[in-house]
Amino acid sequence: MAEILVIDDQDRYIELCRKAIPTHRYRGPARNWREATSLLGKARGRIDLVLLDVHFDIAADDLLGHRKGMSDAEVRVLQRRQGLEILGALRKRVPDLPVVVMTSREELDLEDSAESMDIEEYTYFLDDEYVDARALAGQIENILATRRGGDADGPVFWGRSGTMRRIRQRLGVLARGRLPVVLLGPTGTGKSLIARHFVHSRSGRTGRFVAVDLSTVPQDLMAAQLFGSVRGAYTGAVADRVGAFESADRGTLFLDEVGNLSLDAQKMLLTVLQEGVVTRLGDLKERPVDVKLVVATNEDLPQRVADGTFRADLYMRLNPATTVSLPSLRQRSLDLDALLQHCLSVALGAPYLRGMVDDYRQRLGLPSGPVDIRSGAVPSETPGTLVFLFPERSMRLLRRHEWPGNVREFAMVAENAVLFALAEMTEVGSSERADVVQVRPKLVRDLLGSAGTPSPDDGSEGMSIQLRLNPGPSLNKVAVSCERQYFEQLYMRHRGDFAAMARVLLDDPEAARKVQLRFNQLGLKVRELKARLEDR
Amino acid sequence: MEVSDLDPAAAGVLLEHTSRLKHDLGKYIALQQRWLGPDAPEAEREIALRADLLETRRGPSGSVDAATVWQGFRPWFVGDGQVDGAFVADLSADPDVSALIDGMERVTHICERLRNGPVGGEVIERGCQAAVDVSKAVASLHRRVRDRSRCNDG
Repeated sequence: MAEILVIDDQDRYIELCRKAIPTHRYRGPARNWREATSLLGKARGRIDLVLLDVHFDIAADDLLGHRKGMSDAEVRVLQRRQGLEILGALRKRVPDLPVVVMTSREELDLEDSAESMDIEEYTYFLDDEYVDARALAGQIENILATRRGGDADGPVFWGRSGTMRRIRQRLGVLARGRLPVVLLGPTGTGKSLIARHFVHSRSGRTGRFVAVDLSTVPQDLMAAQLFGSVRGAYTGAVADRVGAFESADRGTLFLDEVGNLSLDAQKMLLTVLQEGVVTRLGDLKERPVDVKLVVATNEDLPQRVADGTFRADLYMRLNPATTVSLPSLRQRSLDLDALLQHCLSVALGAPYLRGMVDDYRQRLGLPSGPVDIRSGAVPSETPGTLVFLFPERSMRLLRRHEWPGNVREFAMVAENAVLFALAEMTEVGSSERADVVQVRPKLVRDLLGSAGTPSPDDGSEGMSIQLRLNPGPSLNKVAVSCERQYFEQLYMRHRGDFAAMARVLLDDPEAARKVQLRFNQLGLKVRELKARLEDR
Repeated sequence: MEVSDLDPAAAGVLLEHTSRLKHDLGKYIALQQRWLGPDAPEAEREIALRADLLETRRGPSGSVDAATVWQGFRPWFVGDGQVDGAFVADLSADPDVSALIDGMERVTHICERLRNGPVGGEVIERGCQAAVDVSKAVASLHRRVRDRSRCNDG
């Protein structure tokens, strides 16, 4: 939970934030700089972030920077840019306090003095023409995570793994360039989120972000959808149609599942990339387009090129040398706890879940206030705070799951977990504390079971163990390497209990001796593994 | 007359009013519905729409609806009054001003429906769309007036 100071001449944003993003505590609104300094003083360094409006419709005497003798027109200008004056003063007083300015960067560029102010560092812009609760919640989480040392960009969660940090850095560079970006990765790893919320937002482009999922577009309509068409170009073309490329002019076009592109469309796409012009179907007129292209696929494009189903010249134009491969969630298991916080902070901003939280509070007579997400033991009570608690056993289940659907699956399970936990508490009630909604292991187990993949301790058949496969001189050597790995992992998991290992391997705890013999045959050393156990 | 026909100096004068229009009307007329997002429950969207259209501006002396806010600006954009006593600009043929006028007519109609009591999903949809149209028209108008005012900047 963070402390957020709102500086705004209206109550709107603070009201909306309190309702839509209840995971944080809000102070204010400070309606002018004087009130803001007063609140900052009272908070004594506890403010984590500031939300700042730009246009302040307040009396001239309350305006920062107001001087006697200013004309009405000068006062109006000062009102219109009062947020920037406050930002400048804020920077002098608290240089590293993150500030979200509720306006677009485009708007600020107009202000002659905006550039001269030190507004870059720790300053974030949110276009109030497009802002919604989810976007703001994402922005706030991003800033707070960065401050905590984690990493997120709106709904994109990067986490702290070195791999993801390098990918983020690489994409940050690629986003600013003019060449296409290719994203590879299994389903659910966030390719479209990265395209929209990272590449597009970092590209500095002023046009729209347009996404087309080519797996959902019929092959015969693909060209029209991408490049547009004129009336009569094909049966059913009753009017001129603007294609995705034109819609994304000066912006970003994201083509998901690019491997589905028809050969005709591939040829046309190649022309667009080469010439920078698009020609609508049935038309002769060339229209210049300036589009940042991001393509994503889960397919092996070089193989498709070799098969002759994807044009080699187009593939080369897609800038394959800089392809970014996103890892599966299983490869990012260290990020799970932070990812849970991230997903639930975003989910709790959604209207339906927020409504359920409000209903729950009302039904149980709980006061309104922030929502906190915790794991481990039941925390002591904080008046007004509703806690969603994942006990350690629930967390263990989440950590051990395979997550074949990756971040998308994780986000859904996390959201469903709090949804069902809340529904259960609302319907059945609890003899325990009403301010702590526990996401119990049984619920997590049910959700993971219905997600379709067995996890080690979910009572379903088998135990899942992750192995690292490396090529060997013979199949036997590879098999032995695998066997060594799972023996080692079983030993560690059962803390050297061979009977328990025998129960898992042979369903017979009496076969401990047999297991130990095999263990020795594999060259595993009890002493070494015991030492590792003691180090844990 | 369209924005592109304005003298850059006149556009500079009009920019001040357009900026204010963008803030007072364009920003707040669709603020709460945008905030909720399109997947919000109907009941929440209606509450947001009511706040956006019927309480578009809030101040110490109470709230003002969108139509009233627009009436304060309208004369300067449709040639019914001199802008800062300097010139008259009838921009009703401008595509953005025309879209704004059209949107505000729809908004005014929806306001009447909202004042008469609860409304159904179809009215909410139309109201939200009209408000977004107005907001977009104002944003576009603001950008174009600003660009026009800079024509002399070199």
